[in-house]
Amino acid sequence: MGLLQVENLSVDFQTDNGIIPAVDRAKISINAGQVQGVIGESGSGKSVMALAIAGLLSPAATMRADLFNLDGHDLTRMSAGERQKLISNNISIIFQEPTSSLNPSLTIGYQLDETIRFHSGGTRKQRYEKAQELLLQVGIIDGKRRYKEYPHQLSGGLNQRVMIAMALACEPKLLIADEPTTALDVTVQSQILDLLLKLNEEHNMALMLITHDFSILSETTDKVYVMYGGQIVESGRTYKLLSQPYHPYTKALLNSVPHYGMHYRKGRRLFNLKGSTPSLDHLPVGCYLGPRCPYANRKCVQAPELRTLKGRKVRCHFPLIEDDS
Amino acid sequence: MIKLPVSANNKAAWAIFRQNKGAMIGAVVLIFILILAIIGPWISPYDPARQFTNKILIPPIWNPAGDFNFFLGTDDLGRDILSRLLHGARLSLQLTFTVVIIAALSGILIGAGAAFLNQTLRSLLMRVMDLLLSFPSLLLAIAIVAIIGPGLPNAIYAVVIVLIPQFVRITQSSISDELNNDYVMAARLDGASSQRLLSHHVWPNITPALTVQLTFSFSTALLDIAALGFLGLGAQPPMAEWGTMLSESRAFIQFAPWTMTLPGLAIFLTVLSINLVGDGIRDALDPRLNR
Amino acid sequence: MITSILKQLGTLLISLLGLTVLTFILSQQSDSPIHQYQSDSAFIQYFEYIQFLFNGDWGMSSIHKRSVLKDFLQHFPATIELIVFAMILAVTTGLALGILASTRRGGWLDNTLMTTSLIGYSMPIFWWGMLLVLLFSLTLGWTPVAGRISFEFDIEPFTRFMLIDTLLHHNKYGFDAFLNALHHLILPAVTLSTIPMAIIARMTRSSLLAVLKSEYIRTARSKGISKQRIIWIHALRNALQPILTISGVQISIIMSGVIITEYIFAWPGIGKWLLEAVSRRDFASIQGGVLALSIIVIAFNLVLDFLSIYLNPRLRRPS
Repeated sequence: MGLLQVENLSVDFQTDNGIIPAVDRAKISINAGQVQGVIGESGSGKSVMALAIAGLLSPAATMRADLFNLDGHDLTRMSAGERQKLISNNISIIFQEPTSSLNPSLTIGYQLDETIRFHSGGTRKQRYEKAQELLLQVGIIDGKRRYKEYPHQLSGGLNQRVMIAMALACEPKLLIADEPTTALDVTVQSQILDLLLKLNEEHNMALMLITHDFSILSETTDKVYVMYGGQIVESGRTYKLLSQPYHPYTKALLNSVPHYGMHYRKGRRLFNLKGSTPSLDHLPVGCYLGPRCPYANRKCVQAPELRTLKGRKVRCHFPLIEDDS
Repeated sequence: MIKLPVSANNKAAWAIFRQNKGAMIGAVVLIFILILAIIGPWISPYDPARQFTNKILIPPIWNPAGDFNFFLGTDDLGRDILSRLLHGARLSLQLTFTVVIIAALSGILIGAGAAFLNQTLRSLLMRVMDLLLSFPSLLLAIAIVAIIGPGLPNAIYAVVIVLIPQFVRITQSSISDELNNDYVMAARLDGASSQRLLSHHVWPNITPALTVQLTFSFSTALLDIAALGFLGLGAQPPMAEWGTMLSESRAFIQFAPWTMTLPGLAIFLTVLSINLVGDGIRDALDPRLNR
Repeated sequence: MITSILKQLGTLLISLLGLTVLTFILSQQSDSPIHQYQSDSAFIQYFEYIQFLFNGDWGMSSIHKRSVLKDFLQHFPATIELIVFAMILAVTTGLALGILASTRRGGWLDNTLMTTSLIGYSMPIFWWGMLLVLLFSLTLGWTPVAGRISFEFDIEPFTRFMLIDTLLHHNKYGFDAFLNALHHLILPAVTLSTIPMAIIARMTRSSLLAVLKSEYIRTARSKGISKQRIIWIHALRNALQPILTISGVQISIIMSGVIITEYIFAWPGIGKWLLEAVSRRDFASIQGGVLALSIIVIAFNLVLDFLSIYLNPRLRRPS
């Protein structure tokens, strides 16, 4: 059963230098309890897409979608207020910088309590017990002490756990985690990821993991979207996509990561694309990867459409598909 | 943080400044006032002190009772207000410039010196500066005038002393900030001398903050000099200083409001245009300070 | 917390030291000695001077032959009344306008407010006061030109706060005297509050806008918290901190402004009293007035510092 279905989601930013397309006709669908990944470099539009789904875009952004179904409701036909209410009841989001995502002037307890009050209510005592239970669930053992503390007194990892506890308080069906471990120490990263996966299983809560790190996705997700220049360029089952990428960009992204245990001959360099990520206000004509792509030819000045290939979606005129059919 | 070469900075800053409508209007008005202040004594119709005893309290020409010989009317002693305003422009701006330049030079020198003092002396000096800064400027000026006596030169000294701490504070804190930056450390490791560090690395990077402070000091100085004149502690009558003119007009607000509105308008417009330019310079030089 | 309190106390001591040295020099300017010192050395005289101050002997006015401290205390309530009233006006209106402008960014209210507040802080207060008198008192006749109360009311100075004293005379005049005093207070208070109000409005707006862009506000929005609650509970608390830090500057502006305002409106407070003392070179009064006003400024700054420590958990409870 589809929990979230979005088709042709576009987000434009109004700036002094004109309109910038941050997300271009993205198509996303997530089933209940599924774990999905979105990968891309910074500026690829993945965070903006997450904010758009969570209804948190800044006023400078405009968003359009042909289809936006959440838990069986059609959001395109709702007023802004109804939409906001439905989204905040079903989707929670956590961010890259846990410490600055929490209000510095309010205690952890206050912020947690407020969330519980808005979503399930209850007496002060009930809420306090619920808060302690949530803190315990996210692995904070000394919850009674932490409850009275301020975000600056906690480490980044602990703050991220608090953010997750607050997200859980909303009992969401979907948790969007926008680079949840990027700002944390390596050892803490895996703890947080494990926690997210554990909660995914226990609560049957779908998880959308946004990252720029393939190593995180390979272990955790069922399905991956690859984004470049505001577009989804490839999507499919994680295992297949990682073992045989169809899109040149996916391949380049995979090859830019050194693999543990692999032997690199001296002088051999990691594969990388020439040039740099295009800025969204100066996108190339046709295929956005065109100028950097080693396989491009003149056909690539025409923008490729997303097409289905062997159960996978690829936006490329020349997918890297071997003739084994 | 990327440090651009200063020349590139200036070009970019000018581009930002030019797009700021308020700042450009302010700049045009300010240049106009400056020109008036420079050529004022030559174009003013009369001597500012000359009294036309049979032409007392004549209103400006847009009033039916106006007299074409006195474009902006006359005051209670029959002096031509236009001539007084033009001479006052030169006097007020001259005083302001002098005050700000002296205060800025002394403040920067003290501040730069302080940056290289030892910790205890520096924090003592800074506490004293903080004390002076936390003082109401006019109260401090009044206290200083009280010691050395009323009058224009003493009022000038008072305003200079009031303005100095701002410059000391900004210079000292910008220099210590800059000295802690990685690029200065890098230059130091490369063996750059203190003088070279100061002139090549630190100075170009603290000039934006100082420029902004300098601009706003002009409006503070102008206002404080005029306020002291208004309170009878600065320039004394019959001097054609704007604040003093305003003070003299107090008795005639009801019967001759123009004797009050015109000098006040001159002060207000000058201060407003300086502040507009100052806002523009601040936004252009340092986007981080943006409002 | 303890270290920041110690730091504050250190600053306070240095401030008081600097201040008393200044007023000591001031008191030395007088032709007729203000205090009778035992010692000839200026250094020891300074300590004697401090002792005199502590004993409440601030010298005798050379003009009125009255105790300076007593004179000061008599004029002080009028000034406090004016300042408090103006501050309430400036803070409430300034905050309200700033909040309104920031929630309707780019709207006509925002643009008008930003333009007027720019004009507001370029306005010479001495001219502004006279313009208000010209318009509201002389042309429209809405408010009295000067003074604290009309002559027909015979008010016994109990507290010397006119609003309170007139209420104490309730059995004699009803509320007439109180309203008359309020009527006298309005225009000077508006004059005095204009510049701080403009600054507070501008600061509130920009600080609130910056806070509303922050990540924790995005978190609050994601939890579905109402707009009002986000502004009042989540944003304002953080936005007020930079505004508090510049309130020290505000009190300086108000203190300078009150001297001019009292001069314009013939308001019988400290400012007017001090100006008279300066023009008559009454050094005992000058020395006492400067000292007392400065102590008030310093005390106010101290309270502000503690308030901002209290409001900012990062300072109150360092990690």
